[in-house]
Amino acid sequence: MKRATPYLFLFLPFLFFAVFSLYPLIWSFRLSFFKWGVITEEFVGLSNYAEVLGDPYFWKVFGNTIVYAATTVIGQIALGLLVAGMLTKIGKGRGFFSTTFYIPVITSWAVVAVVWKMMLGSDSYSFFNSILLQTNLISSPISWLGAPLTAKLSIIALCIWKGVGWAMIIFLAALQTIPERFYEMAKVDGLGVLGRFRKVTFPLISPVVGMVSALLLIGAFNIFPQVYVLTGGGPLGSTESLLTLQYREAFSFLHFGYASAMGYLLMPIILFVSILQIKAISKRVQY
Amino acid sequence: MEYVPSDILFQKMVTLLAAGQVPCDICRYDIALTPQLADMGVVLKLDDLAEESGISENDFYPGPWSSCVWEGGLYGVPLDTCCTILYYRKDLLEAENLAVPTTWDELRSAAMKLTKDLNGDGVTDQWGFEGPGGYEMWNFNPFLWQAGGDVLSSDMNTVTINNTKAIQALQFLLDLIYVDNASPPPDLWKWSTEALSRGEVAMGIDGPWGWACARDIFGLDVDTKLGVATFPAGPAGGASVIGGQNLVIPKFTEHPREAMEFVKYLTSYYYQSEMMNVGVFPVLKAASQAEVIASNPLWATVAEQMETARSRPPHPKFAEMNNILKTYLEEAFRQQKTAEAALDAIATEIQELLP
Repeated sequence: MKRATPYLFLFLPFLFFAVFSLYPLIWSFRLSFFKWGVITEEFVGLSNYAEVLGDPYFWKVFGNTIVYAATTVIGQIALGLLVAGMLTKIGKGRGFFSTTFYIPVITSWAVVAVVWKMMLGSDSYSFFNSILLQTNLISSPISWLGAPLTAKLSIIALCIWKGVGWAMIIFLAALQTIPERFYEMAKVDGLGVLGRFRKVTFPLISPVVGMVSALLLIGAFNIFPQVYVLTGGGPLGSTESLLTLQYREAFSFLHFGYASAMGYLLMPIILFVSILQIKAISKRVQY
Repeated sequence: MEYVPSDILFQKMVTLLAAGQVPCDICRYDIALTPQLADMGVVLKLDDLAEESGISENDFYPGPWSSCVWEGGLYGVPLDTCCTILYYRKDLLEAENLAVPTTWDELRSAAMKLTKDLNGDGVTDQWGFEGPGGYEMWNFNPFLWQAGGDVLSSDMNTVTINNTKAIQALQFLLDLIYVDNASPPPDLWKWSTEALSRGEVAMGIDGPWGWACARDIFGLDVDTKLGVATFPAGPAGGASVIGGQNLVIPKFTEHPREAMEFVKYLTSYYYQSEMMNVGVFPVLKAASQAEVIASNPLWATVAEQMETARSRPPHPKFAEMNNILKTYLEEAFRQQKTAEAALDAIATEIQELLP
């Protein structure tokens, strides 16, 4: 009985995983070889995969995703580290500030996206424009979500703002594990702020940075609600993400096979890049 | 009865039908997507049932009815309909002594006169005309039809969207923006009813709901400031696009006859004329002749516009065709492609969807 107990506890989560993750995974793999018409299906071999790879729009969206991944992963890590570093330096109010930065992380994506959409309105009275106009930084309102470049930048900014608190919390925990005496020794050796960061802080938390960057990268490949709500992928497909494309192909055009093939093409890419990333960033360091 | 938001209705129907379950006995479904259900074979063919219960094509507006027909079979019965019309700001037109435009030329010259830089900062604050913000078939097809063009030939086997008439329609809309500077460029597009209500635009396009939206959401004094009219006529006359909902009966239902009986009730004169009292336009021609129309300028305009309103291609691949059109029209409106090149690209890709 003692031996069976942990398995009993594990069984329920596994059942959940099996029904809602494993089964759909297997089913969609099968689907990726079919032309599926809800009550009809036809085996088409690899043609869904060939169609995805031959579609220029897929590559455009893939490019968008690379841009999202590069900017949001670097942005969240840099800002997360910066904020975490500053928080370790203050005594009073650490709880208050870390909570403030963490609130966006636990706020629902749908709510955040709708609010940002309002703030990014093209009128002179919408949030960002009115601030920029009143401070004379711009002379006429910007249509943030109406033009390709500003729309993409808006999505990136939203992703970073929403995720930076998560990176911060993890870095904060990691930074607190570094013994103070390392810094004292480094000071004695004459290292400045940057030198201490390069020689002490970063090497010691690099495994955490590697893990965080891999998880953020997976997140960047899964960008959906912010694009779906803010721009619907436009203008000119400039903000389209792989998931919004997949969603439309499946649920608007009924190309379930095509959408599944797209998902399965992305899986090895994400896996490969994540492993590469963790290997490159996290070096085992011991002092 | 269950209410399901329209954007997830399709997913829900598909999921249940794929599992061999009956989602419902009757479903109210978007007219543009009805042929998709028919082609998938998930809704009942209704010809015999309709004949049995005395539902006849002749009693309905032709536009909504055509959206229920796929490959000669009837797969739905229209329930309600609507079409887009011209909205304008009475006060702004009066200030310029302008009559409501009835042709493209008049629309163009009125739009130019109504475009203004009110505060003299070199930036336009009041535009003459704005389409409904982004052009899909819903917004573009009225102009396309007014020019005498169409997306597909009437047998739906050939793409006709890149002929000279279609180019003329697109060029007209492009010239309003880039030649006449009388219509906002794509970066500034917004819902034209919002822009109208705020006085940022003098003339716009919307469905019948625009009236209540201007009044209730944006607080516009609609009785004195908002006017409605049928679309200005193009080279080939007037036209508008119909929207609305059909009733479909999912396959596997155990109660097709009972369902049809209820459909018969929903399309009866009594029910259809009652719909008008709550702001929904009927599909039954007889019902729209009610007194309501005479006393209400909005319904009078919609009723008149309905006579030239048409349905977007009732084709199972409508959603894909619409996406293709939207993609390349956006490139044209952002001056990345000429009207001709954009329409050629649309034609090529839509042709690939046809057998």
